[in-house]
Amino acid sequence: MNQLVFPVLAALFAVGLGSLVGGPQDIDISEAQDALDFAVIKHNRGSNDLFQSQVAKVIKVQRQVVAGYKYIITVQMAKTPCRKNDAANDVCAIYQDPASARPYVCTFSVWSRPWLNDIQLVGEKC
Amino acid sequence: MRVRFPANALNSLIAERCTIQSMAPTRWAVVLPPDAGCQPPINQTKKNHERNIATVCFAYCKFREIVDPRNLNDSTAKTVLLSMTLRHLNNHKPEEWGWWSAADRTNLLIQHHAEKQNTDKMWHAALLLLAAGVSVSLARPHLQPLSNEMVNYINKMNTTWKAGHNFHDVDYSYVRRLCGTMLKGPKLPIMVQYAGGLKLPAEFDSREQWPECPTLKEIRDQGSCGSCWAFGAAEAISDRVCIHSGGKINVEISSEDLLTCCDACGMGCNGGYPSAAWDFWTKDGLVSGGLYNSHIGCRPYTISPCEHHVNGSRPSCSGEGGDTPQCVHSCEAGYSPSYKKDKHYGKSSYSVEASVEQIQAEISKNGPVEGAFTVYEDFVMYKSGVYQHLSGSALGGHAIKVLGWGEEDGVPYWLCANSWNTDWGDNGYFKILRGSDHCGIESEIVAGIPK
Repeated sequence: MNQLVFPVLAALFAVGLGSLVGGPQDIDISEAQDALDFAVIKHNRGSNDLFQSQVAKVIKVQRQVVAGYKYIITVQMAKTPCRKNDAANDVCAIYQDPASARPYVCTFSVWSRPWLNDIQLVGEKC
Repeated sequence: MRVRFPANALNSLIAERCTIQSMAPTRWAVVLPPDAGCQPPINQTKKNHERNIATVCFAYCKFREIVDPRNLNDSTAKTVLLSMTLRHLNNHKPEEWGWWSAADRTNLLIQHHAEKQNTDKMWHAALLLLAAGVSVSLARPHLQPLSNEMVNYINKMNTTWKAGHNFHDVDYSYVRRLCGTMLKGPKLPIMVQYAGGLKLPAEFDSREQWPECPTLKEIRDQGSCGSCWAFGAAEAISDRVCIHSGGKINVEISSEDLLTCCDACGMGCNGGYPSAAWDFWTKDGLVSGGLYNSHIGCRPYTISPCEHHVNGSRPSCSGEGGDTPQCVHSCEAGYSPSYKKDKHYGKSSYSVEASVEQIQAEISKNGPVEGAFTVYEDFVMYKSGVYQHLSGSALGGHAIKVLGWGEEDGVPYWLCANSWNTDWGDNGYFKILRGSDHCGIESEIVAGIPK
């Protein structure tokens, strides 16, 4: 019984003084998939490359309370054989060989303010 | 078999939220008032056996929080408690059993054994209920967070607050984990006021109490930076400087100066400690500084509130990406007093005891305070009324300014100012449930007195 009660009490006391507010917290990518998709679309639109890039690997995903909230997503991107204006081609797997894939790491910051119907890519470090 | 509860233990427990009643020689049950929270068995009583009962009560109460009490009939309750009592006795030395005797334990064992088949069935039922309860609580967030469904769900709950309509394409998934790592900030001395002689009004609004202080009516915008801790402090400090000068000193304290120059405060745009912010004010002081682009004061905020639609009044987003701006020990060009001369200092900083009366006494005597609480997804959609967390999971800790209290349709609330601009919530303000430390709102109050 005490084993059951003490962790509960400990938790009550731990909420005492001075916790960090406004800091990012690690979350699972499944909880930030939409934000990542949004960032990748913006990223492709903003680059000069004729071909689309896609996410090869997710490295780190965080979420933070700001005015609304913000996702900070670090991924490894790689090239695909799909042209950007090739709308019909929706299956765009990345190249398997590194020479063609030319992988690179990007950190995207996606800021969402649902009450304003607003979502923006506020940071893109590649 | 009868499980005996001594009369004195019973009497003392009746005064508590959790009560054990023996109803008949062969029937007994735990009785909890329908809305009772679980009172941990701490400092309730010094006597061993009373502590034991309280422990069982608390465990049972926690159990009941998971299982809907309406689905729990008397015999299930009894079985559950019986098993808990047995487990308690088995896990402790006889000298720690308190009033339970070896004979009691034997009786309990015999009964437990006799009812084993029954018990198993009931445990299965209880476990099923538990599973159902857990799956219901897990299922709830599966309403697409921030979706129309969630807004409708909240509004249909007919609760004390209303959610706003929102963009259903931004239906971000939910966070499963709560609160994340709670890092400890510096501890401030706890201020306990003598509130006995103080008559606290049922409603209090700092804006009406001190109409000569315009910063009380100002809502700021932290932008895409996690600087809530600096905003809550700078806003409340601005108000307090004015209040303590009797309306003579009117200054917007710079969130920027606090955000960028206080190293001990944490990590700038990546979060900070409200207590450290107030401590910094007493030691290093804070210069003046208004909203973004306001050109008011020494160091106005440099992170843009960012436009969100084409014809809006805000500047478009420059894409700061969340970096904390530089700490600059000089004022904006065109502002005449020097940076050093512009510093305003605090005389003291302290945390306020987590009690409604203490917080009320502090606000009514000295002005607004800074508070912190856990933000859940539904809070982001708040529009009006008294907020209580209903759905969605925790996004993280958030600091705000608490400037008053009141009651709306019988629901007690704290009146707070957020730093998400005036188009969020109720013109930038919100009300949150008062009196039950809802989302931790009463447990992290900090404040200070100007020099």
